[in-house]
Amino acid sequence: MQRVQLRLFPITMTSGSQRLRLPYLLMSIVLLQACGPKSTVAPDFASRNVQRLAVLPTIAPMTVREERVGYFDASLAAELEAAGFELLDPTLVRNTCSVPACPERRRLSTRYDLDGFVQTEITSSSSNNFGIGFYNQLSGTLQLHSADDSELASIAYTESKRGGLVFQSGQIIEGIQETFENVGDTSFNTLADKFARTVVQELPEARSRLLDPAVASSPNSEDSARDTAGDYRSNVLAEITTTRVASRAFEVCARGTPNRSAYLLTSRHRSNLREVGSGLYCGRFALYPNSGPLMVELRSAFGSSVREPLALDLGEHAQHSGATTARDTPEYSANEENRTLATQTPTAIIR
Amino acid sequence: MTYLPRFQTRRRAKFRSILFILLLLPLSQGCTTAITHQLRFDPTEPLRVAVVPFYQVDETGAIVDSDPTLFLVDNLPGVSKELEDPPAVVVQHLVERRLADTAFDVLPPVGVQADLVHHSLTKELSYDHERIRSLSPQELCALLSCDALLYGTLRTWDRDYYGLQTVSSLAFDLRLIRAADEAVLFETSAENSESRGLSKGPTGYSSLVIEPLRGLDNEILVDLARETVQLALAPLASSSRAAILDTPPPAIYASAHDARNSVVGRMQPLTVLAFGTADQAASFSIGSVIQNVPMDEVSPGHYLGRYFPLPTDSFTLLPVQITLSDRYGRMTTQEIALGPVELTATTHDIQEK
Repeated sequence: MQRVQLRLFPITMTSGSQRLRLPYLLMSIVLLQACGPKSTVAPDFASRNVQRLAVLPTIAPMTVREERVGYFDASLAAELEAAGFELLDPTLVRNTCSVPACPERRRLSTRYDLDGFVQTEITSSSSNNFGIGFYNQLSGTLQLHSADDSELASIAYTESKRGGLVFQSGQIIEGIQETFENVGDTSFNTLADKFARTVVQELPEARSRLLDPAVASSPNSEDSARDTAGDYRSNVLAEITTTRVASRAFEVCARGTPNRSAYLLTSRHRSNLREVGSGLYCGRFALYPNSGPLMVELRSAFGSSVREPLALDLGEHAQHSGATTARDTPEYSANEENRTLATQTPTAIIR
Repeated sequence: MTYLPRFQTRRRAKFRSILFILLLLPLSQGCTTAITHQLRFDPTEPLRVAVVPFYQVDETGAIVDSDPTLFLVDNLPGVSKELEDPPAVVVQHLVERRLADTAFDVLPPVGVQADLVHHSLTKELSYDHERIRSLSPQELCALLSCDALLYGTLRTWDRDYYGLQTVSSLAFDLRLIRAADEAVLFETSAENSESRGLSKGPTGYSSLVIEPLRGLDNEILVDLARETVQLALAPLASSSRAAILDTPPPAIYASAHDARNSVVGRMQPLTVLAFGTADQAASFSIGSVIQNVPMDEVSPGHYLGRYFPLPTDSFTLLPVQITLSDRYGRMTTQEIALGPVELTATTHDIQEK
């Protein structure tokens, strides 16, 4: 048996049987652990059937621009949806929460029958470019709380990327390419995607309450309570009525499932219709020849929607793009006001 | 061979030394470039930057109002002509042109100007620099819709005539400050000078007289400023610019609505007007109750929208906000300064409630 001493590292190795000193072994384990996320998941997470979540606004340092926070939010939402969670419409969250901590969250959980809230805090973000190499990192913590504010999961993680000539030993072309690509928001966006994927993977699988027989058979099952809260399962768009109220102004009304959000979609905008009666959504708009194509959309609080094109003649320049002047638009005579122009019954009413 | 006495030899040597030093002095002052930089962020980050109007200061730091009549030489034909703009504005324009080489999303100067006028940050026919500088970067960026502000101060814009030599000198400071935390991301201090006359080498008698006069031309100082600005902003230059940066972000120059005493009438639509960048998607919202009412571009850059209330609509003192967005998704919003509007509930609605 030969004893070989490595002078560089104070490790004694013997051929035939290798022994590492215990402290170095422990240090290696610690180092390896520091590379991955630190997760804390409540033991009863799986039994709570967590599926419907509201993603609260991300808390980020002031130095992280809004556009980057927006990209981070979109990336996280995509990963959560891919993992099977249903997310409340962010517009509803934004309109309800006065601050990122959202003290009004109980209102959301009651109205939309939520199972929990997700909030991420970006603790640090840095981009270090030293010419021949770069090192970028993004640190943050994702927390998932139940509707009654108990913590279900907490995942802390640091995503980092290094590259350039220094870190691509021997791979000169790759090093140059990495340095070239490490510009602008690309570096942050890449980290954001990886961060979101990694932390969401730490969460237990989303579990639909419909799969739980105990919930399905309870008095407060999907069909009754969820309809009030905004059941995601169906959006019914039964009828669309268009009425001219003034020159080039139209009232658009859609009848469908109650407690939804309804919109008129023009070529460039999404304008809301107000629920003026149970399941009746209306709005009045000045529409121009270049406003089309027009669609009416009915959307649930959890993102499922149904759309129907709006059959409305806006004049001879309808469906054309580009700005037009008032002279180009045909004038309507006064006796044509308040005339119902069309009532259409959508062909596909249930989505 | 005639030998001079020793004391006369020493006197000649001394005279030559003094002459040599006198000749060297203008040379040493003639061309000096001193530029210092401090860069504290990644210059490839596409920050939306607004250039705050530059101004000139004297030795004490007091703002100098440039009076064209002081520079009489600028009215001498063949020597120099008056600048179209004050020197600080000339430097500002040069900086704005150089920012096209950076990765910044630079707000169009005319948009910044319109916003400053819109918020009454003017004094007589010029900007109220003291009031502008008294606003914090956060406050100013809230008005201008930006991430960072570029401040510039012109310290020196001089032409010194020494008979056989004219020295043009320039000095300015630039600072880029992030609005969110008021961190100084980049700062530079630049000094440069250019001489015309004796220091340029042996010349004939006529050139010795004319060259210094030519050195009084404003164009020389402007060229010097152009070169110095390029050197000063070199650390911010980026070879990789996203295609989105080839066009400026949308800007809203002016907006208004026609609600009298902040009340929206039920029989008349609320009309909203906006003037801004042409060929954008424009809409307005009233709080979060009425969202994204489309506006039509009735002529390039002029947008018109109308809100027709439903019988059931009602709201109390909500702001009217205009949004302009381009094809890349960049958005600019402006709250109409005329104030919030309200729509009272109808009697029918009150009875139902």
